[in-house]
Amino acid sequence: MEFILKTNALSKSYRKFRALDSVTMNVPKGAIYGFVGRNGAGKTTLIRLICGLQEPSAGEFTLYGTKHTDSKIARARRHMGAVVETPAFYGDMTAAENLKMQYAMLGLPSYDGIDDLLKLVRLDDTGKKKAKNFSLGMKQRLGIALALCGNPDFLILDEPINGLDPQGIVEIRELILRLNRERNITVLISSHILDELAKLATHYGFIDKGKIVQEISAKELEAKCRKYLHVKVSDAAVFANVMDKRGAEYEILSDTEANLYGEFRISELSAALAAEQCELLSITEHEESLENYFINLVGSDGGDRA
Amino acid sequence: MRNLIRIHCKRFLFRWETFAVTLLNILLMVIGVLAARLMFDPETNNFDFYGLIHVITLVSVLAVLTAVIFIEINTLSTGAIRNPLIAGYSKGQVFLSKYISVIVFSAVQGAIVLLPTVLANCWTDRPVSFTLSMLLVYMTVSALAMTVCLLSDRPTVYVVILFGVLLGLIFGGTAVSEILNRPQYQGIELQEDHIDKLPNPWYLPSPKRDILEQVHRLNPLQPLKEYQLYLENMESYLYTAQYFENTLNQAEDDLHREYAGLLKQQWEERYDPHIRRLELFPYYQCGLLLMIGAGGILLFRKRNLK
Repeated sequence: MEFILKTNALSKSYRKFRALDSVTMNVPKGAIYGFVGRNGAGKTTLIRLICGLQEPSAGEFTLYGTKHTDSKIARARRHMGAVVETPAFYGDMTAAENLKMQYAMLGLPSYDGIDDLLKLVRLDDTGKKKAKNFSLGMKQRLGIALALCGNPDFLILDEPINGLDPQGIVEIRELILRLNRERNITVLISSHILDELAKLATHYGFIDKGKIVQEISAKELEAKCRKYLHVKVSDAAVFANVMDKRGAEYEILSDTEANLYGEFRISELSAALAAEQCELLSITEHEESLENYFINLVGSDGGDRA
Repeated sequence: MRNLIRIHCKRFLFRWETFAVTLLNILLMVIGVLAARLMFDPETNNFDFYGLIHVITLVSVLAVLTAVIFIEINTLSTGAIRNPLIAGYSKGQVFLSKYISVIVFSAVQGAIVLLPTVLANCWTDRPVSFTLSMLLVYMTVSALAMTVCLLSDRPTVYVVILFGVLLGLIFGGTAVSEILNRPQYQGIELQEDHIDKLPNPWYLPSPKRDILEQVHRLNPLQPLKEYQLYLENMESYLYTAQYFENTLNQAEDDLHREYAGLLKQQWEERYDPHIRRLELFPYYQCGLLLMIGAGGILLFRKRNLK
């Protein structure tokens, strides 16, 4: 498998605070890589290192096979575009003028393609409106358009749906999917909004407290996300005793509700509960969400990292 | 990097600050030229023309400095820095291109005020080194302001400090000039058989004098005052220098020769440094510009950008 981005024990410290701790990850070509972590986990820090805004304290990364210490890394970065945290543009210019500036900076010979880009991100009707007067969603889309100048094949989006309304979220999602499918652009998208990532990503990297906890493909994740039975019983304490005797994994939710993990025959379960004078009132099957998977993976000590 | 420099220079054209400061400089230039042509008679010295030029250039330098600060203070939050880095330019290239664009902008603004006044034929001596020194004043203070804006996390605070420092340099430079202008003797009187020399208690002897002279030459704003002092006294200097030369040559005996020598030495000590400083200022200023640029690049490379 070919990898666009590979990091090897990448670390970044700010004085005594270790923002990234030996991060090793690989972004496959053609993937939509969901970079998942809580606030302060180190997602943006990693992205800043890859974009050249900051230097790593230790470790290395390669972009298109070029090491970050190589003088040719600048040429490698020409194949990528990024929106880091908030989109960076000139507020006193229109969308088209901003794109022209970007084209000029990239040394592109002509402004062909600007209209198509504006159409792609749905900013073709903004006319003479200055970018500083755009809505948040429009600013995000302008940031993506700027990142797409020069036809990159690797796009890095740092929390692109933060602060967007539902329609804005849908627009960004559809845009990312279109870019990946139609233009075969590899996308690294960081977010802590897991439900949205679940609709997009083909690969995941989970990061917590500056360390990569797990890398997994969407298919593997789907297989791993546990199914469970949500049961309503007449007495949850009796239910717990019965399950303890069987060595089953369960979670008591209230006096009458519980989640039961693993494979069980409903008839057997009902009989076992009836033997202890506990009635099985209802039973529904559920699948573990990405959110639950992540929380189980990193623990639920709560709170963001400073 | 040429693309970057071109873009940064072009950006200045879109700013209202550029428009405002250009208008002001044109107005100041018109005042200077009109004063030179219509009001000033070098033979009768009927009008404090050199004082007016000093005020004009001081106002212009502060206006250009303010414009640069307004333009550059929020640079880090626009696409001016982040986008080129992501596109593959190095931090050194990004800083240097900005540095050069600010220098070009300030030099153009300085030329608006200075060149017409020079061409109006009011400088009887050293128009080239004068113009170069004054242009370098514009460039140095603008370069300093831009560097402060790009290197500090709280640019507003540091810019206010910079303003204070520059005002301090203006007044401090004037004060130092006054100290260095103090003659060695308050009075020299030729008696029948000896010379009465009344030492000046406020005279600064060497090596303190030499050290202060070197420090004085490093003051980037000194040309603002120095040329005024030089030009105000230049004609009488030329006349008086010739007078002392003649007196020395015509001295009847050793006592008269010593007396003439003392007067000449005192006169040269007061006015020769102005000439020497004016000759050296362009070199000192260029050195200062190189140091600020080199130091800025080194520090900017280490900066953790967001």
